[in-house]
Amino acid sequence: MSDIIDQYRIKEEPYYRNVADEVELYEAAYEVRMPMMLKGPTGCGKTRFVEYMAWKLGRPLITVACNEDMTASDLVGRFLLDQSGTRWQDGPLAVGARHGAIVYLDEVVEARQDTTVVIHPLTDNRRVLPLEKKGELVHAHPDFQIVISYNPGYQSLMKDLKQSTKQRFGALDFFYPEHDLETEIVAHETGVAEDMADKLVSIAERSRNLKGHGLDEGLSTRMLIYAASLVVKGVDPLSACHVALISPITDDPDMRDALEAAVGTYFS
Amino acid sequence: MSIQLAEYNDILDELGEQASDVLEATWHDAVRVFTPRGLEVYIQGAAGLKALGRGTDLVVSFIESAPQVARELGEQAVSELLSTAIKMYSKTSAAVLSLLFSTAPVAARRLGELELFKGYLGLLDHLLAQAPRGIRPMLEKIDVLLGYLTLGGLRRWAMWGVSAHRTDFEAQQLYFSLESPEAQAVLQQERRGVLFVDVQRRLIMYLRALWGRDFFLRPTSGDFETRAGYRPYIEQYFIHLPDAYDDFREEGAEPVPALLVYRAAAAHSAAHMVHSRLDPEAELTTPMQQMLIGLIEDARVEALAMRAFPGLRPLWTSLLPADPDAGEAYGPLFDRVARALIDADYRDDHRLVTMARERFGAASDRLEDPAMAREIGLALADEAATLGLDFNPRTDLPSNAYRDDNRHLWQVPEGLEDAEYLPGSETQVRKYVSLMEMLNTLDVEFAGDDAQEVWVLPTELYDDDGVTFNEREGKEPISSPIHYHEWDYQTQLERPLWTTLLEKHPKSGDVDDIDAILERHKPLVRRLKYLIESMQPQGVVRQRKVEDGDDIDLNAAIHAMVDIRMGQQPDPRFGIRTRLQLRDLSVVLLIDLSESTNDPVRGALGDDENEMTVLGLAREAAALLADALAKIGDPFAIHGFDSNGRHDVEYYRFKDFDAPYDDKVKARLAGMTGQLSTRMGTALRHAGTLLGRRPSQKKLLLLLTDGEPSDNDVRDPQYLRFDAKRAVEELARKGIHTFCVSLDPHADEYVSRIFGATNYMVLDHVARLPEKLPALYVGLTK
Repeated sequence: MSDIIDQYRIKEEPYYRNVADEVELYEAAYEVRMPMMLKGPTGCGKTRFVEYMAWKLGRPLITVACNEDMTASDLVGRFLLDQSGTRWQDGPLAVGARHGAIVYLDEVVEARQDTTVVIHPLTDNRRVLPLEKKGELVHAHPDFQIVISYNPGYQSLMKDLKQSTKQRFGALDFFYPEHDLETEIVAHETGVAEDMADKLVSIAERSRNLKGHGLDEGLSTRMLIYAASLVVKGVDPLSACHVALISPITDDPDMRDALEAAVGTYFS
Repeated sequence: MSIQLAEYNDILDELGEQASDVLEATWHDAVRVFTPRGLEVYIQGAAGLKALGRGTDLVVSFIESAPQVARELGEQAVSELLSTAIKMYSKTSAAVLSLLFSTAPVAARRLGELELFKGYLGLLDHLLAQAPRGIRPMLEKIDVLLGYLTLGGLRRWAMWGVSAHRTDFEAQQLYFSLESPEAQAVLQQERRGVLFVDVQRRLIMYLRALWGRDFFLRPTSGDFETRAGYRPYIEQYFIHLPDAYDDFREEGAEPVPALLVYRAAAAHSAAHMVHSRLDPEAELTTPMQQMLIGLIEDARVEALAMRAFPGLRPLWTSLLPADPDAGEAYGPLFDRVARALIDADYRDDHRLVTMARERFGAASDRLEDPAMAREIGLALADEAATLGLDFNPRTDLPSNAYRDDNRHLWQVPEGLEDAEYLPGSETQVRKYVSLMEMLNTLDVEFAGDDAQEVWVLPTELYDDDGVTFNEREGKEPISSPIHYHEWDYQTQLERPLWTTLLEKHPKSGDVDDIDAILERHKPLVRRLKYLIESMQPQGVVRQRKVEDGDDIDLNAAIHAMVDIRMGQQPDPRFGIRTRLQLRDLSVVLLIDLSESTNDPVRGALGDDENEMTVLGLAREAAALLADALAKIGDPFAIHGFDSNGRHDVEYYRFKDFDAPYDDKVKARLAGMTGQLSTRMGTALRHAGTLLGRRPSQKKLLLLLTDGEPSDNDVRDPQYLRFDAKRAVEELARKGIHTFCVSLDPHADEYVSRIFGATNYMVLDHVARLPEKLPALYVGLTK
């Protein structure tokens, strides 16, 4: 049984740069097993933070990427067939609850609201997960904790969490780090030179100025790391920015032109 | 007194066609914000402006903006605006005056108070004499300027420009259009920490959260002449706060951010409103006594408030500077008393201070008693008299910025009737009544436009002579004008409240026309039927043969078990997944009804073998699409628009979301006509606003147009394109997807710029629109 959960353990320390007091806050929240919600734009380090905390606390981490077609059985589990008949297969939530993992539901607003309510009994003082089809009530392991993330940007107008879901969580806000910190992160992750990282971060800041003026989101730290890793492989910075930054983020010819020009002012 | 627009026929004639049209449209709105006397001023003002003979734009701008100004500040502001305009007219051009009117609602909103607005008008008049070339560029930027500056700041900024460039007209123009570096520099220098208008909502919520009741907040000009701020005050149940606060800085201490100063001031005044009472013997107290009673009263209400909200103590303490070594003068002494009463750690051995502290401490068990402040205050005043200092009530004031001047303790509030309330709070009620109810209750069948209630009968009511009251009296109900901003790509700024949109009732045509269209396109309707059936939502759907189902499908499981027993590889897809299949989508079909839609299309023949017009094709397409949509069951609306300059964007709702697709709708579609121009951005914004109110998760705006945006008052072809692009972006941010079907063969040049690379279709073969549109819809939403 233990090898099921062992595969979810994080062996090596993931790189995470503490921005404010989020690590201490999270540790305290984990002490009391408070369910946590991480808010912030895409690619600003939410997932990396959870990985780092799981490593630091020595807990296995089960990540579920949520989508619109996900149903409750995808989280809880389902019956399968085998030689002698049917066999119950635990879903990620059930595995986590039994073995005391941190279960991380990424982009939870993407899931339909009737799906997200299955986490309710796990997030209050009951800490149980009813497996209705199997007729079992799983009492959560003392180490079990649930973490969700979502991006309160443009999508929140159409999709939002129910109040009853929201109010079961403590929340940490994430944003792109300050200039110097972000430079440090890009340089550390890719091994690119400090001044190159500095330029890339400046480009990203220009693009974040355009948010709401034609761009839905600015360039994320993750995209900068992609661009920097191409540069490390010897790609010309202009082409690296084109491939990793500009081309993915927009199809609008004017916006591309503006971003190309912004890149051009840093590299020539 | 009842008011009828019809009574002013002579004035309407005088105003000329365009202006009287706009007046009629605005009238509905105006009767709600103006009193009868105000309406008189309004109408006569319009006539007066017309009589100046300086063109229609001026009159129209006034007619439109006056009700908005009145709604913000009360109708007195309109009279002020008018008299300023009349004062200015001999000195400047009509364009400047019309700009003055157009920007007045913005200024009214930013300033938020009649006195400030008067000050603003005075400043403009003054400026016109000093820097005549500067006023126009300044009005164009007024939204930006008032976003940063208070009225006092604006005045000093303008005066700097006047004195620096008194004779150099060119430099004046650059300065006032904010293009010269010194204009920017002075702007930065005059910029205050936090403006009241920007935090008003937050403060109201904050007070509401603390005390669970509403407080009214109003701005007061804090720095019109000097940089020193006015003190807040309470009058007529309104808390007046300075229109800007800077961060509070004291030597040797952390600066307190301006927002916190606002909070401290608001919380202090609110504590007064909750706990203080008018002093019963106000007239018998001397200014010295009033000052000291006020000081103790401040401490008393703060102590009461801090008992409930302990976090207020550090906030207030940080804003009460005091120096125990300051000399013998009343101003600093008051500061020391104030500080000593709130801060137990503060050391001060002055006679007055220790006495205040002891007395206040001894009375701490009866904080709720307002007489306690009076008692201690009077005792202190006696003690202070022995200090032998001169007291000047004008200059010897405490130096803290957040406490109000306590005038509410000494001044009897005037009767409520005299207080000026903002108009527009009364809304016209529409009641649907039965015939008997109407007959029994009604004395007079006629009413003015400002009627408080409108009663609607399900059937016609005839007068004695066999004419219905509707025929004799009835008017088309029109919507209040709705104002939208527009994007000016040259200045990269929004022009707030720039365009006016009017919703009009569509005319009805012959229902049979629409039925004939469906009849003629029978083969197409049949073909569409299959497409539609595949789109219809089926509620709960069971998907069999899936690998990761919610349940096991028994039949498939038996097959699989048989396979396993036979030693064969079983089919892993034995699950059933149940899912709710719902179409959660709202659609608006927005049809461009401009003049050009009356052009015939070559190759498209109608019933009578004549060439069809673009409008005819659009009608056919709309009818077919509506037919399809009604069958699919998606909530949809069909709207149309045309425009006649920025003052008059006409918007027709042929079918609304909740209305059934019935003969009424068909008749309206049949009655669709094409006229005037295409101000696309405003129409898009309005359709987006309506669509935004729908609860659906997905929202689609389908725009059917035959040309690019244009209007008769815009010469620059890029302007409206950029505005339309901006509107599309705004809609996208609201989660509304816009798709354009263009019938203009040259559309490729611009349409992708406006709508984005994938969100448009150019139909070269216009005659095929009726079959294309429903198919396109099905394709888009599958």
